[in-house]
Order: sequence, then structure tokens, then C-alpha cells
Amino acid sequence: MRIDDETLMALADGELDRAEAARVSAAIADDPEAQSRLRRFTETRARLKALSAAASHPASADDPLIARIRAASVPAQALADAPVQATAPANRNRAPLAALAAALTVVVVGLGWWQMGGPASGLPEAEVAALDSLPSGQAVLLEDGRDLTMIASYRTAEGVFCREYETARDTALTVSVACRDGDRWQQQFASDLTTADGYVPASGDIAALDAWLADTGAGDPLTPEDEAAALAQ
Amino acid sequence: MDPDFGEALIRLLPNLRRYALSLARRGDLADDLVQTTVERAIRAAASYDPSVRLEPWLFRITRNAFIDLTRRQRTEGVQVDVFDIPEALPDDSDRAIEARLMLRATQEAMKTLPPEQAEILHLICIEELSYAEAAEVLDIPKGTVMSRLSRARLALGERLGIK
Repeated sequence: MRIDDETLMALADGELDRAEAARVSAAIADDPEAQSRLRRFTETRARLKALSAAASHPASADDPLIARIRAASVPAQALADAPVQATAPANRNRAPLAALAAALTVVVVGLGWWQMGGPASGLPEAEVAALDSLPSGQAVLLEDGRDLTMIASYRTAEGVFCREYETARDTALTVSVACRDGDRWQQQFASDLTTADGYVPASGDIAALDAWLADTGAGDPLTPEDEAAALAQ
Repeated sequence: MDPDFGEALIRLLPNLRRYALSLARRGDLADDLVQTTVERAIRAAASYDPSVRLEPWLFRITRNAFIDLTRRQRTEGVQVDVFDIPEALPDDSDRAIEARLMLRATQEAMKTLPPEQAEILHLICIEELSYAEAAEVLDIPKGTVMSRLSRARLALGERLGIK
């Protein structure tokens, strides 16, 4: 019986339970071919393990972090006595945002992002092409000189496939979300992230995006595999 | 925040930086990632379930922070190595020199792998996460961890001439 690579790897990595490990070891005892395949897994692991023992870079940046962590450490009793505070959503932890979605939607309208309810023809062809095929994390140069970076793909709670991307020209940066509607793409919003001094806010400050994510119940970004499958549809 | 949690977090700072470097490959970005991870970990400390290991919980935060960060940082900077392998010294034995060359070869081979392969090798063979923990960090099924890891191991073995 041929033992497959993944089983041999699991043996090398100590991922098999004792009975299974004994069974596989016995099965390959007289099988030099399987043993040599096993060796590729034990050997690669040993080489990487040796690397991990090598000195890491000196971490001078750790000292302020250690101070920061210690400052945040309070005995459990003091914590229990402290009043519960609602923290502002300073990052993209999405759970707290869900509760704030309604409020945020109102606020971000005030901040000047706009809803695009218009026809899909509003999207330039080059953007549509990128939406149809470009994997997240990759960038293309559009014909009009803008630089488009695909950021992430999502599925909304209703199962609609949506993609977040950025377009940049010089210091002007726009983050957009478009969702697939049949064979067309509908832009959900486009939010200009550029301010007068060229300051680009940290991602957690993209209120429009966070509100959209919370509103539509979009979960974490799709994995590359799931995204590829959705694009192939 | 519980002081024990804080001390555990401090102990894992070198691991976090190493993982952050493996993701970002830039010292400044890795520092940002570690800092973001620490801030988020402090804020989310109450939601940490002490019955699971802290490493995968933190790595997941780091990885999400990296995904966030890549939204902002597209420019290529000076790439750095994850491991700082010292230069050979004149009085090193042949064996020490050979060991160092081997470390370097491993590090170079890792750089030539596709990022998703290098990442899974890092999590499992360097940070020593279990398959289940790596599946949690990467948000993929365990079966995918195994197939990706096995491809990555064979690719690395090939580059290192391991037959």
C-alpha cells in the first residue's frame, strides 16, 4: 500500500496520533521509496527549525512596547471594579462596529462620501476588467494613468460577491467597493481618502468602508482560494 | 488587562516580530505590525480564551494587521532578512561555517518560494504551530493547510537539494 505524501508529512510533524504513527511507521519499514519521501519532510523541518534558532534581529523597538503592555496590565480585581467603557472603534475590529453601523452611516455621509446608485456603466472598462480577474493584493496600471490595487474580496450576508480596491494617482487615493450583480459590477461607494496635506488615514479611519462592511454583514476577506473560485463563476 | 496576559505577550514579542518580518519583509513595516498587534491584543485581551495557545491568537491579529497595512503601503522598501545570520569568523571551525552556509541557503530558498508557501512553512516549521492552529491563523481548512504545506515542503526540499 502506498502511503501518500501528506500522511508522511503528518508523521514527520508529529501530527498523527500514536496508533496511526505506529501503523504508518510499520507500513514504510521495508519501503525505501517511502522512507526517502519521509526524509524530505523531516529534513525540511529540521532545516527550518535550525533557522529559527538563529539570532533574530535586535529588537530595540521592544522596550517602549514592553512599557506599554505593563502599563495596560492591571490586577484582575482593579479591572472588575473599573467602570465598563465603550471604546471607540479605532481599528477594523468589526464586531463593535456592527452595533455602531447605523450611527456611522449618518456620520460618514456628513464626512463627504457618496453613494453611487447609478448604472454599472459608471465604471470604466479597465476597472471592470480588474474586478473580473485581478486577485487581491495585485496592482495594475490603468490606461488613464491611475494605479489600481485590488485589496480584498468579500461575501455579504446575502452572499453577494463584492470587491474592495483602491485607485491612486499621485497622492490622490480613492477606496471603492463594487459588488457583482449578474454579469455587471455595481459600485457601492467610492471614498476619497486624500486630505489637503496628503495625509492618508490608517485603514481603521475609513469610516465609509467600515460602515459598508458592518451594514452588509460582510465577514473577513475571502481567502485566495475562495476568491479565485468566485472569480471563476 | 491581566498581568499574566501582559507578561505572556512580552515573552512572545520576538516571535511576533519574526512573524511580522516574514510577512512584511521590511523592518519598519514589521515594527508597525508588532505595535498594531500589541495595541489590538491589549484592547481584545478580555476576549482571549486562555484554554487555547496565545501564539495563534496573536499571529491571527498580526496577519489581519498586515492585510490592513498592505492597503496603505504599496511602495517597495529595502527588504530585510527575517533572520540575522552572523558572518563567519576567522577562527570558526569548518563545521560552524558549514552550518552557517546551510542557514543562509535555507533563508535564501524561503525567499524564492511563493509568499503563501513561505508563510505556511514559517508558521508550522519555525513558529511550530500545529496544523489546526495554522488553519485558524490563515482562516483556511486543515486539509488546505496540509496540501499547501506539503507542496511548500517539497518545493523547499527541491531548492535545498534534499532528495
